[in-house]
Amino acid sequence: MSEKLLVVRDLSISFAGIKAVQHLSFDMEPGEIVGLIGPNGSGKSTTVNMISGTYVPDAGTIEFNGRELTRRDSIASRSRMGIGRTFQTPRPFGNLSVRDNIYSILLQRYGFREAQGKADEILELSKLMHLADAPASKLSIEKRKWMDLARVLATEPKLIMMDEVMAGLNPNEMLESFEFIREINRRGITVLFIEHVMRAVVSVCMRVIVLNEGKFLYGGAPNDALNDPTVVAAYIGGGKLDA
Amino acid sequence: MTHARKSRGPILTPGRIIPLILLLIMALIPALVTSNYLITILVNCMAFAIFGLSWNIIGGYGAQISWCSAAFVAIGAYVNFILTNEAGISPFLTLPLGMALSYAMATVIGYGTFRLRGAYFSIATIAFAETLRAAVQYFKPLTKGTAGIYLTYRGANFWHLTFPNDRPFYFIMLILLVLTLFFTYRFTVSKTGYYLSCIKGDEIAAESLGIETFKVKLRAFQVSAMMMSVAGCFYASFLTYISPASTCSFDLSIKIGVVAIIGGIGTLWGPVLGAFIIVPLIELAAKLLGASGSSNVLYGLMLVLIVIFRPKGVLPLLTALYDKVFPARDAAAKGGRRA
Ligand SMILES: Nc1ncnc2c1ncn2[C@@H]1O[C@H](COP(=O)(O)OP(=O)(O)OP(=O)(O)O)[C@@H](O)[C@H]1O
Ligand SMILES: [Mg+2]
Repeated sequence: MSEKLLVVRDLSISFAGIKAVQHLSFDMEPGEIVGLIGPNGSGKSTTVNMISGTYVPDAGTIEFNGRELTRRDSIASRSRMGIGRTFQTPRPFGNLSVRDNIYSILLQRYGFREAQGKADEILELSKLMHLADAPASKLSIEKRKWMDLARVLATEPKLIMMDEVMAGLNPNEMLESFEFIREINRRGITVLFIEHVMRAVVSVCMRVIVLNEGKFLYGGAPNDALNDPTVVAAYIGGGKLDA
Repeated sequence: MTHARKSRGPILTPGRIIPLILLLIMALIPALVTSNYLITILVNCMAFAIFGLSWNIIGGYGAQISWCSAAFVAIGAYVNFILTNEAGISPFLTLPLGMALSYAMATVIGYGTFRLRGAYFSIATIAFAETLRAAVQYFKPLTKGTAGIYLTYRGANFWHLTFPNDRPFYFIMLILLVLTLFFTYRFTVSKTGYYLSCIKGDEIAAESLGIETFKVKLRAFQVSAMMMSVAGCFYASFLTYISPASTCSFDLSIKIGVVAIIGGIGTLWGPVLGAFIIVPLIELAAKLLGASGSSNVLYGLMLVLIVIFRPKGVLPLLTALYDKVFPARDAAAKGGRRA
């Protein structure tokens, strides 16, 4: 296939003796939706944090868009390179309206007038238009996650790492969110999809990477992962495997 | 309310008329009031409104609490008096130098602390202000130390900002206040202003979305410092006497922060409201209680009450009233998009 968008090699990090991620390697092709799954504490969010620049890995390399990232590439500069992420615990700008959460970020790329139009587009696409003028602090936790995701689109990323954006959604909202994520992907954005709800993973992802206790456990088709004995064992031992 | 979409409404909305009426009243007061004492208090109110607005740029809109306002006031004030007295230079010409020095100082403090989150910045501002005060006291040949400097009186002279009474200063401060309000508003709707409100909302999120939080905070602090030194320059000419105790004290820094916090932190009109509440109250307290330390007790007490009962300051009371009287959604009058 073509050039890889993301190449992770031998990535390791520990916190005060806890080996959160060990010797993790994986690749992502442009345009893929890859699920990153594993029991609680298996190192999924930590991996996102290393790629986004929040954590500095103890060892290993991250290559994005053909260029190796160094510790001198700040979080903000990685965002400008096209690395986007949401937070497991959403982080809205609670002092701003939903629209201004998106608009402010768009201002980095666009003038005031143009950013207005772009903000409308994103609000439309994310079905948040009816909440546009609500203060972000007033949103429910699910809507906050949703807005986090809409807002990261404003950086026009190449890659979005979604850290459990679906937690707490009802079945209908979940279906809507599948469509949203596919739409994001159709626009050429590569997606790293972290999720505990297996139905979502199977429905949305082209392939999955399974982590267990910070280590790579399995890589392949989502459905096969569910039948893989080591994966099942990891989940039974370590955490939930929602249907 | 959002600035992302501006609806073209009528030009004369209550939100615009009310400030104009206030301005008109303020402009007419000197013609109606004979008491020079009252004029002096009002000039003080306006000066502290401007200080509070300057503080608000970094402290309110950026949520980076600074306790070195007095240092920038002092820079503006001392540059003015030293150059005016020694070289006969007009305060208007000393302004740029005061601004440049304040900019440089703000850059140094910001550079050292804005990469870190949390209280480092606030603590560094206190250390800086104390250092500057010590320096002002030490370099006696230039600053006259604790004795302070008297401005050389040059008769009624606009160019040198010396006047036989405070009435001309009333108008000068009023104009400066209007300009500061206008500038502050422009700042809040600038790109830096938007990025700053993102940082206030969630610094980690802002950074992850590409905002250079360090640069934005630094820029806001530089702007705040320059505004403060401009205000300090004019304020000094109004006082005609400056000393470390009056223009470079921790006391003054606190008073400036308290004005903005009590009025309404991070709002356009909050510092103005705060100044017009606090300055007369302190004046009154000094009259009634006598002791010069009473003011500290008073604003300490007010701060405690505000933090417990009205953490958003007094302004929301007025905006709530405004919304009742004018139910139309002219939210622009609320002074910002931060609902
Ligand atoms: N900043 C940190 N300091 C200390 N330990 C940390 C830190 N971040 C993560 N860890 C530890 O690293 C391990 C992996 O955590 P991580 O949050 O990456 O798991 P996860 O796969 O995202 O789990 P979950 O599904 O619960 O979100 C855990 O043991 C966690 O306690
Ligand atoms: Mg996690």
